[in-house]
Amino acid sequence: MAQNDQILIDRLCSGDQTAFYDLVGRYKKKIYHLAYDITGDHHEAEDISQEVFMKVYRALKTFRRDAKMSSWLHQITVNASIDSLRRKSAKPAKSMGKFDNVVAQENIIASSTQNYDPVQSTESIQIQNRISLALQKISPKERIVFVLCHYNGLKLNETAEILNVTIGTVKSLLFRAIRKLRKELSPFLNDYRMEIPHE
Amino acid sequence: MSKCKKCRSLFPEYFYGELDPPKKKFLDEHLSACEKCKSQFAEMETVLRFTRKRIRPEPPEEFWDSYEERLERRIETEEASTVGRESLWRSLGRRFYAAPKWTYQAAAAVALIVIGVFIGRALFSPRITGVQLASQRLELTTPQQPETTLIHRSQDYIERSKLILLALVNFDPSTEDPYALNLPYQKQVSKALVEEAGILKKELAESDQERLENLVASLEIILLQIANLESESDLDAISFVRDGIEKRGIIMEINLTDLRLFMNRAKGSVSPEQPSHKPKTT
Repeated sequence: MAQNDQILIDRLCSGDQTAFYDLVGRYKKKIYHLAYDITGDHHEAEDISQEVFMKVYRALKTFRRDAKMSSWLHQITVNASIDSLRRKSAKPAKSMGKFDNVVAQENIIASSTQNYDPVQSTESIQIQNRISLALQKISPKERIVFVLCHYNGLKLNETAEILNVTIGTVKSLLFRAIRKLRKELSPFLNDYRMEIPHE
Repeated sequence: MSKCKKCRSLFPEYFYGELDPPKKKFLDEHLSACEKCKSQFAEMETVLRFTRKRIRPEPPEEFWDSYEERLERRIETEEASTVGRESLWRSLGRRFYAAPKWTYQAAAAVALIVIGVFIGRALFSPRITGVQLASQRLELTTPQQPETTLIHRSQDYIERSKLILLALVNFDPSTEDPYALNLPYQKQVSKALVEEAGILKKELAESDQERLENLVASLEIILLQIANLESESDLDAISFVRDGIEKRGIIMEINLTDLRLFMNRAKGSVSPEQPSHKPKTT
C-alpha cells in the first residue's frame, strides 16, 4: 500500500487530475469509517469525509512528496471530527438525541442488510447498541485513541503521531478508555461470559 | 516503578501485538505470580474481545457509487463561490489603485502612530503578576474593611491549596494510572500558590493573624515540594510529600481554620487572633 501511495503522490504532485479521484476511491471508506467511529453519526461522517477530501484538493499544489498520505488523511479526519464534536456539544438540547439517533441508525442499517434473521439479529442488535452507547460515554480523547487502535488498526506510535502526543499519553488514554468501557459494559459482560485463558 | 505498575503499563502494547519478547516474558512471569494483575488483565481482555463484536454499520452500495459525484459537485460549488469572491477583491483593488496618492500617505502615517502607541504601552507600562492582579481585582470588587478582605483572600488561598493537597492525598497508585494525577497541572498551580504565599504571609504578619500566617507558611512548604516533583512515575517522591501532608495534619488544620473563621463570621467579628504559643513551622 505504501508503494501504491507513493505512486499516487507522484501523480498528484505532477498535476495528474485523475490521481485525485483515484485517491478518493482508495480512501473514502477508511475516512468515512474513522469519522463515523468518532462521531457516531452517519451524516456527520459523510460530511467530514467530504470535507477531508476538499482539504486535500485545496492542498494538492503544496503537498510534499515525502509526506505519508495515510497519516495525513487520518490527521485531517481526526481534527475535523473533533471540530464536529465541539460544534455538537455547543448545542446541548439537540445533541442529547444523538445517542438514540446512533441506535436507530444502526438498527435500520442492520435490518436492511442481507441474510437478516430477526431472532438472531435481536441479540446482535442489542450488542451493537450497547457497544455504540458505551463508546459515546467515554471522553472524546479516549474514544479517538480507542477507535484508532482498536477499529482502525493503527499502531500506538502512528496514533501518537496523528494526535501529536507521546506514546505514553496514547497508552494512558487507551488504558482509561478500556477501564471505562468495562464499567459501561459490565452488565452485558456478566451476561455474555467469556472465559479467556491466559496463554 | 513497582512491578504491578510496570506490568499494567505493558497491557496496551500486549493487546495490540506490539510487545517485544523480553517485555512479554516479564509480563507472562508477573501475571503467573500476581492474582490482582492477572484478574485486571483478564477483565480488560474480555472488554476488548467483546467490543470487537461491534459490526460497523455500512451504508448501502448506492451511497458509495455516487460518492465521487457528490464530492465533485461540492468542489464545483466551492470553486464557483471562490471565483465570485476573487471578482469582488479585484474590483476593490481597482478602486484602491484609483485613489489619489496623498490618501495612502495619510493612512500609512495614522497606522504608524497607532502602532507606536501600542508598542510604547506594551514596553513601558509597569508589569504586574497575575497574583497582584487577582489581589487588586478582589480589593476593587469587595469594598469592605481591609481586615475582612485579607481574611477572605486567605480563605480563598487555603481553599485552592487544599484542592491541590487533596488531589495528591487521594491519588492511589495501585488502582490509578500515573497520568490520572495530572502532575504538570498540579505543579503549575503549586508554583503560583507558592508565589502568592509570600505576599499573603507578609500581610497576615502585619495584621497579627498569626494562626493564618502559620497555616499559609505550612502550605507554602508542601506546595513547594509539589512544584519540585519530577514526574508522575517518581512514586517515592510523591509518597514522601503525601506523608508530609498527613504528618503535619494540614488538612485537619485547614478544616479547623474554616470552622474558626465561620464562627467568627457568625459572631460578626474579624479581630486579630490571640497570639498562639505554637512555634513557627520552618
